[in-house]
Amino acid sequence: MATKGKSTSQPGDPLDVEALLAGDGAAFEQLVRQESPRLFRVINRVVNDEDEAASLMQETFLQAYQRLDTFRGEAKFTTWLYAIGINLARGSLRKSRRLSPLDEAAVERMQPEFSGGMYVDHAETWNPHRLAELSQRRELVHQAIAQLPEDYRVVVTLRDIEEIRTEEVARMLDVSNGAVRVRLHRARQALRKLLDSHISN
Amino acid sequence: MKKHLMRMAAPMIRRLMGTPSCQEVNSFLMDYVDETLDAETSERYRKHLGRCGTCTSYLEQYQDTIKLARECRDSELPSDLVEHTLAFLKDRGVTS
Repeated sequence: MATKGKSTSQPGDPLDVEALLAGDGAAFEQLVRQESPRLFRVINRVVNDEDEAASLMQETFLQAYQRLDTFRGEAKFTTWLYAIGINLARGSLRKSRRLSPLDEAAVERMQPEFSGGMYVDHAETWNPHRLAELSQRRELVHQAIAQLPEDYRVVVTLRDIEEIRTEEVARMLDVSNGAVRVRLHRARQALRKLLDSHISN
Repeated sequence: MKKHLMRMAAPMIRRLMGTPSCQEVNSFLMDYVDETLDAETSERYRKHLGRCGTCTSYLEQYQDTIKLARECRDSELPSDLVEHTLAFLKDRGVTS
């Protein structure tokens, strides 16, 4: 039987924000179908625990629904949704007291050193064949990202893995664009250092 | 000894030639990669990269790091998570 309007929408269709704000169940179902994969990936990167991430994602959708009246339309609806999810994930991480293997001082140590404006250590281009043949490359990168402190892990996830624009990431994290860029640069350099020890050998 | 002297002299030579140092190039690496540098600065960087093997290698590693992170995007959700989420929301009166 043919149905009309929102109930026939497919994942990937633009979200009907008006219907969402009016509390339309079908529009909310579309939101869940469309955003679950990415939202789950983002939350899971923060908490590093699939069961916890699944539960937090459900809570994110519920809180979004309950707080629809606080959406001001200054950001995209999905940006607002992700801000809720990331906050919940960070809260959960704080409660669990699970610390990242690396801290801020370790990230600092992994930044390049300069003397007289020149690099102290000489970098060698990674051999593309070695890169291609590196077994369990994805797992290696996964683990390297998981070691980063939360602030850095989040920006790498949002900017480099999910390819979300800096302005949107800044809104999601409630920080300036400049802060996102500084963290991302430091995170990339720390990751580079972590990966270099496996790739350059 | 020669290396040490080069490091001492490098800042002065750069000032005279108006070229950025490796450290300056590093601090704007992200802008360079994102192509958000103005044309003039970008050209100065390109010139530096053209004759600095270390900066070129570092830039390539930096770009490879971004590519490797990008490859980490999983596409699979735990099975039934969407349906469980919809059921969870239905129980709470969100979806029908």
